[in-house]
Amino acid sequence: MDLETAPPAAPAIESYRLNFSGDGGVYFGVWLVNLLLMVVTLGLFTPFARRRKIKYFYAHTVVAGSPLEFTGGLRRMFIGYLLFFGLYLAYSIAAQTEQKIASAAIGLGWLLLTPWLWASAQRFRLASTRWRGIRGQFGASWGEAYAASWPLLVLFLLGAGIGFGAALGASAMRGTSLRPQFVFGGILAGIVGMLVLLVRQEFNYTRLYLTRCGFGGQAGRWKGGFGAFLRFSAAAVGVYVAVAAALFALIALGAYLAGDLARLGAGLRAKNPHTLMLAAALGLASLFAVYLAAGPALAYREARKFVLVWSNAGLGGVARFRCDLRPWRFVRLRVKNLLMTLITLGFWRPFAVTSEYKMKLESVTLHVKGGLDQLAGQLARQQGAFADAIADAVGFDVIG
Amino acid sequence: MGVAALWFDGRSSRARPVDVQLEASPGGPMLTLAAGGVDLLRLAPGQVVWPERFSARRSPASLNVDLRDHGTLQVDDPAAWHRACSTAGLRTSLAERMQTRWRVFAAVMGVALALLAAFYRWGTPWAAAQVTRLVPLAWEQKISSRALADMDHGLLSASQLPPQRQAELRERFAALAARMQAGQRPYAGYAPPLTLHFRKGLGANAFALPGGTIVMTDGLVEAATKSALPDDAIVGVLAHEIGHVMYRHTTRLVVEQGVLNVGLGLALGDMSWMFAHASTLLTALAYRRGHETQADCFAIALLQQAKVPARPMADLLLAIDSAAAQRGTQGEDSSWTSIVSSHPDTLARARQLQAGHAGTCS
Repeated sequence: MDLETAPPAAPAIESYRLNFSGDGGVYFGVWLVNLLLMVVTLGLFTPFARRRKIKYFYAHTVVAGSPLEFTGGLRRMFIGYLLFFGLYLAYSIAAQTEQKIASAAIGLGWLLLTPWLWASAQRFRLASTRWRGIRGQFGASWGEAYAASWPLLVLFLLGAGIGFGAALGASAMRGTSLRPQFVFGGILAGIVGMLVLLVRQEFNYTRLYLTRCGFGGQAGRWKGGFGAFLRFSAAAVGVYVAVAAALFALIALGAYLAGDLARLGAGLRAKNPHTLMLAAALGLASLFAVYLAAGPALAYREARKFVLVWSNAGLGGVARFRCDLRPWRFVRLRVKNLLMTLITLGFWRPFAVTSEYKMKLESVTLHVKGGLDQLAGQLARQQGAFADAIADAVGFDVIG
Repeated sequence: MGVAALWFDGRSSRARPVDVQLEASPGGPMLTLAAGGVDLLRLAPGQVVWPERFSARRSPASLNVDLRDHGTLQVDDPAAWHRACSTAGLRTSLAERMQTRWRVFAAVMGVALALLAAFYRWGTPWAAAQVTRLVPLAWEQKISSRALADMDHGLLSASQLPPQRQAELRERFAALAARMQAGQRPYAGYAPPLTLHFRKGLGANAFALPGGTIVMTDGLVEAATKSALPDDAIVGVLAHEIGHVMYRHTTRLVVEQGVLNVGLGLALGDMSWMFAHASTLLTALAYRRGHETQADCFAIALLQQAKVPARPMADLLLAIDSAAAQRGTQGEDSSWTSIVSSHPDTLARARQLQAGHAGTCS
């Protein structure tokens, strides 16, 4: 055979669907054991518990035949937890005893620290993640992390400005009457502006994470856009409004069936105790509806974001991801989980967490060009477990 | 007996099939990696992060063993790995034993329940008493004056009692307060100035704000008059309220909730939030009942000092209670009507007061 004339073989592309091999029953055990040991140790077990939980999920997350591995050191996680708890305690005491200056200083400190905390948490998490012996790394500099945090700063300045302006305006405008549509318009514009800034912040961090992470000498890449983030956020607001309207309609129907609405009005004026009770129940139900409507909307947004992230992410020239998660299927799962969690007073949560993680993970397919053996390891450095503890507490966590 | 595994050395993602041998040693199993009959690596027990087994029956399809700087092992027969580990004398963690053995789990569960009960019964009240000692009187007074000002904006209005009657009752109040002895003060050195305020509203009621402010409503005085009871009845109620002040019950309640919230938050973490909230609420109610009993006991003792009978106070409580019950059936909102509302068992309380001593008082 003449090797010279053979056409160069194009590197084969192999596809692997990610797989979660754990199940809710076993994770329920992990969760319950964590809980009991936390009670027995008065909370000192918390960092161990977090590590067990992450280890469970990683060990059952199978990527191309090999599970992920979490190697975060216990001592670092423990020190991080103690530091975090100390800061949290200082803040709660300052807030509870109304030491305004102290709590404002701590609040401002949080704001200034957030970019550093976020970047450290990603660094720790990626450096502690291993697959086929190769660690991840996060290559963003502190400068990049702070530059990506501009929406947070704008949000803070805007909030402070509005507070200051409102205080000034209230004293200056006393006596003059403002048209209500201007007031409502202003409030609405403020809320929309804040939401857009928050979405921009989330987009910035997502992009920074996905483009500056690396694995075995291959840099991450991502081609999602801010427009898509804005679109699914707006759609989520739409879902919220629709669900809330539907729930209100249901409540109104219930009130109609329980007693004529007109009679309800008359009873209210007469201060009939039964009518008052009914009215109170209706009010509570409405409040609950406002709260409940957020569930499907948040789930919808989470799923759309997940699809956007994992359909546009890749690793150097060797790997790319595709995601076929169906948002409404995820919303149905979340609604079921929320209801079950309510009914079981929270004990359904382990099953909720595993089922949602499984649905999301197994919607992702990894396409690899040139085989699984080509990644090169790098020197591992671990840091930032403190930031990881905080990231977990404020909800940046990858696993719910 | 060896276990087959893939070794990833951390320098590349290439897998290398190896045979793993585990042998018992004093500090735990020694791990040896071999390929083709040649030993590649020998690690002491401390150089290996032994993976935890999460279930006695179910194992994942494959398992990673962290060799720290030497990379990782992927074992595709986890059951064989765990067998080899236990043969080589690996000591498992408590968490793993709880996870895989029912008896260990049940034992830790028992300890946890006992600890929770002790925390609730002794830990929280003790910690709350220690913290309460540190709360300054000025802070209590600041809170109280703000709370009273808030209530004056809606719930309460100026008293309609004639000034002369008010002066009469204030005199009795001052005389009562003067009879308090040092031994009766639960907090040594805590002697807030006691002031009595008259207000209209909130039905027949009296309540103590932290820091020495006691508020009595016109409704209470009227209820005593309507039942033809002597002023001793009102003095009894005031003694009860002084008890709340001296025991710093409001402050304690706030602190107890704080201690419980911190404690439960720490211990339960991401556990069922509903469970945590429900338990906080229930304990608040339970602690409150305890406070009422404490204030009653204080009142009985103080009334004895002042040579005032306790029976009229008991009669007054019963009269208010039955009046509230009657109004309740007529549909009026009765939740604010009286100081009896936080006491589920007014009858038992009244009987105890009528007897002039309390079995539950220490």
